Amino acid sequence: MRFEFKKLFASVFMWIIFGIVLAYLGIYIVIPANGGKAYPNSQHLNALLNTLNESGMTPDGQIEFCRAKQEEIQSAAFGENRADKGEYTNTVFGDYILLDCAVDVLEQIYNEIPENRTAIVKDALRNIAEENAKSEPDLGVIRMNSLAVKKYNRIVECGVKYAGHFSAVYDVYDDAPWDFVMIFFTVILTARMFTLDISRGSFKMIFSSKNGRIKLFSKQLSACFFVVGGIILLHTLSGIMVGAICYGVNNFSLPIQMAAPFSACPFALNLGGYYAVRTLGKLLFYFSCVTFTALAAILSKRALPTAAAGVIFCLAPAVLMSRLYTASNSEYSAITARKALNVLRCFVPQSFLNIKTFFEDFDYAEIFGFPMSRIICVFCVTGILILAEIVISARIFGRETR
Amino acid sequence: MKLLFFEFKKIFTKKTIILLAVIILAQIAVMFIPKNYERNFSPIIYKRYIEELSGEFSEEKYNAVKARCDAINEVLSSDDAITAAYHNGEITAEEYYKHSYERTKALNEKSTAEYLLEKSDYFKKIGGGVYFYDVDCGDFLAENGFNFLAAFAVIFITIPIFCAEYRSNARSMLFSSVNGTHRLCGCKITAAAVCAFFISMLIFMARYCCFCGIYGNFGGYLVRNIMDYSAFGNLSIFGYYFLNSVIKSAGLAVGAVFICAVSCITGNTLFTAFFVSLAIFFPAFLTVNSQIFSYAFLGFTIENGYFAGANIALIFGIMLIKIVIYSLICNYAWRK
Amino acid sequence: MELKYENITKKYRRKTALDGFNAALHEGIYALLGPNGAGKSTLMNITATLLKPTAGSVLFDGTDIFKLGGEYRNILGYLPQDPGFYPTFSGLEIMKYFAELKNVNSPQNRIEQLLEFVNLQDDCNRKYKEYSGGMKRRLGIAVSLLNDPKILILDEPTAGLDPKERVRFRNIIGKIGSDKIIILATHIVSDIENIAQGIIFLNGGKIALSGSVSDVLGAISGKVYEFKTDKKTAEEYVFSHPNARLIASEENSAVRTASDKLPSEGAVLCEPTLEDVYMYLFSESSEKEI
Repeated sequence: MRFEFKKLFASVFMWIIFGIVLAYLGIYIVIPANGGKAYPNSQHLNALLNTLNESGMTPDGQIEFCRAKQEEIQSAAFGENRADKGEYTNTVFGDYILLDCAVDVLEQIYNEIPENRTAIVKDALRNIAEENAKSEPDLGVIRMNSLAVKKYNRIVECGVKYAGHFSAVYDVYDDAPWDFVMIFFTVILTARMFTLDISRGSFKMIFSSKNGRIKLFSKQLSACFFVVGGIILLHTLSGIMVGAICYGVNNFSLPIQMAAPFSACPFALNLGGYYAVRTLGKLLFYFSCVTFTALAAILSKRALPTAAAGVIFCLAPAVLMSRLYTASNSEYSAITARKALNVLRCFVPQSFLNIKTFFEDFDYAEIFGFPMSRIICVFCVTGILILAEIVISARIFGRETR
Repeated sequence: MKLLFFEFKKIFTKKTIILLAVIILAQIAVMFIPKNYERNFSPIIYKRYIEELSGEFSEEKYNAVKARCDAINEVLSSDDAITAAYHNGEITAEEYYKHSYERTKALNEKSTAEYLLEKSDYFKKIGGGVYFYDVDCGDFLAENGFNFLAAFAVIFITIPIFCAEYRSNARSMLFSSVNGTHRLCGCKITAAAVCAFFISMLIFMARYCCFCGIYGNFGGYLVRNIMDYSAFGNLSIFGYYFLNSVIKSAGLAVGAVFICAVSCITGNTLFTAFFVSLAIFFPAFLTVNSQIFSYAFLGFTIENGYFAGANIALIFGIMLIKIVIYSLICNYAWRK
Repeated sequence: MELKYENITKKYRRKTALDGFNAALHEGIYALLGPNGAGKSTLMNITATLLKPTAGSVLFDGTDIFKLGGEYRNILGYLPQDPGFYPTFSGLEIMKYFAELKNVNSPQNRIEQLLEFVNLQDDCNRKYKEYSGGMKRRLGIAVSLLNDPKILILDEPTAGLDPKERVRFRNIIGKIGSDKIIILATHIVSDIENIAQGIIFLNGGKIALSGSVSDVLGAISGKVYEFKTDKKTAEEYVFSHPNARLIASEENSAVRTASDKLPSEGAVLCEPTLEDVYMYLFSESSEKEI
């Protein structure tokens, strides 16, 4: 594989492209690092929450305590002394913001999460009862609602802790421009890898033995996986580090429901698990880009058509899904757009570019009569797609050429 | 001229023509995708009003719109009083139901009437206008941003102009010919720019023709009849779109010369594709609202085209300077 | 007409491709022979003004060719090893294209003439990608002759051609060689044996030997031997002496070698051929004294 890397990076322009991608990745460390200053310090917030938890106060009591403190600050000539040293932070104004955040966290842990889940379970039970009352009950509806009851009818062990400004992290790291640059890079890298030998004419020598061909194919594919996977892992790692340092997302054992956008998530998953699933999803998506581009390169044997086909395959579904997502928020076409979007989200690897939507609510679909989580479905489909493309490419690549 | 003819022949192979046809078909297909935008008025009610008001703006029509708005507001503001009167038995159920009907109608029409009044105020401000159903036109012009299909076509067609010579090693035979350096380079750049311009115009005009086919031809109306387009003087809708398309096509022609320069520097198809895609497509993802960017950067020129307050002479002047610079770079790199 | 090379040197980063090359060429066919990396293509490219030498100059009738610019390229014809013609163009279109590039007057007549000369008049409307290797090569020669060049450079013109095409090529070059300076770079010795007036052997960027055919043959006169032996001994000898080659027969093997000393008992002296000169000059272990 060493030789494949050497071939790939033999040209200075490849290094320049690689440098551009890494420099762009660097922007994702600098920008959020600056943005994190706008949020209250998670250490202070966790200290306050800890104090409240150990105080023995009831949940409502804790919320009231924080609100009372806020009123105290407000009424004590707030405007004039906001820069004075606060009880919990460096300034009185900082205390006010901290208490505000604490109220939000406590409301979420004590009220929103259990109430939302209770409401979902009640709705599901009612739907089941209504369906059972019909002369011809729809078993699919009953199955789906029963699954919802099963998923939501359990206690989420939250703990009085602050999960961090999770929404800020994924707003930064699930960014469309980064994905576009990365898609272009993946396509160019793979197209170059698989068309280089053909353009040089050295394929005539390499293709003389079948074992040589299969071996070469696997090495070239591995080289592409390695480079692309490395950048994705670097991106994820930088997201985790910046999230931990700047946004307080550093307790990965907390249930995912404690992150504000995921309060209605049905899965028994923690934040660390979410990161793992997200990373795996992104890796699978980019690997599918690599395998498709490789197949296009092997079929067309020319660089430009390969690059064009690769970019269209990787981008077109993402653009379509983005349009459908916008249309699904419109009052005129929400239903049809949502239906189309949900179908695509089950089968298209580009769903991984917006993976958080799978965790925001009860996102299940009936596949061959069985309720299945859409994210499981898309993982399976993407995996099968990747394998199929590898097998087809290997077969064509390994075939004797005249 | 013969050299130029051969360069065009090299560009327009069977595959290229098929690709162009596919792109134009894709552009037409995109026009048929239903678009449902969030509006603060109802297009159906708006259409009904416009049919009643259609034609030149006049003071009578303005007063009629204002009167309708006032009537709607009156119905809605009197709702509490009438409800109370009904409960008190001061009015009959029939009168109350009649009021309820009027109230529902008023609620449905309120936002549209307000929009129409806003439009009438706009006509009053600019000194005149024509009432016509401009919702589709407005959407068409609003969607007239960065045309990815045109940019894709230009990139795909222009890259092989120089890269194919590097790939096939034809340069050595070309360079040993007396016209194989400067003159050939000039012909290739000219061919690239001309092709890019005309292909883009073809795509833009296909889009316009498709729009006219689906929604009707509104090209004769002045563009300032649509709100937010008051800065474009006495240009018709077609005139505005045409000028916009010419600027964008000229921008893509400059882009083609840029692609030629990058091709000669890298000498490789894939690297050229990456760098030009980054330079041309990427600005489309940035939401920068600056006139300077529209003059200076190709991606923004291709996105904004003829924007309000644009100095056309300056736009074309900057494009010319860019063409000269890119051509010089291309020529230098070609001979290296 | 004279093409003079004065102390031509071309250095790349770590390699010296040409080192003090000196020659003066007049009308006729000159063969440039040498192994891979000898500097043949570099010399071709410099002569075709595609590369500038690090030192030295190439003078055409006393003027530096790089200073002549377009004037020089007007009288130059160049056929590289892979001309890179356009696959979708027909032969005729390629001729017309290059006629335009070379500023040929009345191109139509000239094109017809040349197509007939290289025997492609019946196939000129077929696409280039449909041509055989020989036809491609003949088209290349026709293109390089479009502007009736005074200097014609052919880089490995017969590489990949079958024997029939190679004979045809030799006949074409032989016909046009009298009033032009034709420089032919090759390592197929048999192609130039009977047509070249001058031969230059290049090795490591330097001239190993140059002169007319008789001169170069005379340089190793009395050094070419043949001897018969059994197959095993012959194979061992050839393996240990890179400048020897096996002349095999069914039962007895014969070895032909160029050597300063008698290679074996019973070895007989032979008339040298250009191939012997090539093997003698460019083998690794021979003791050469010329």
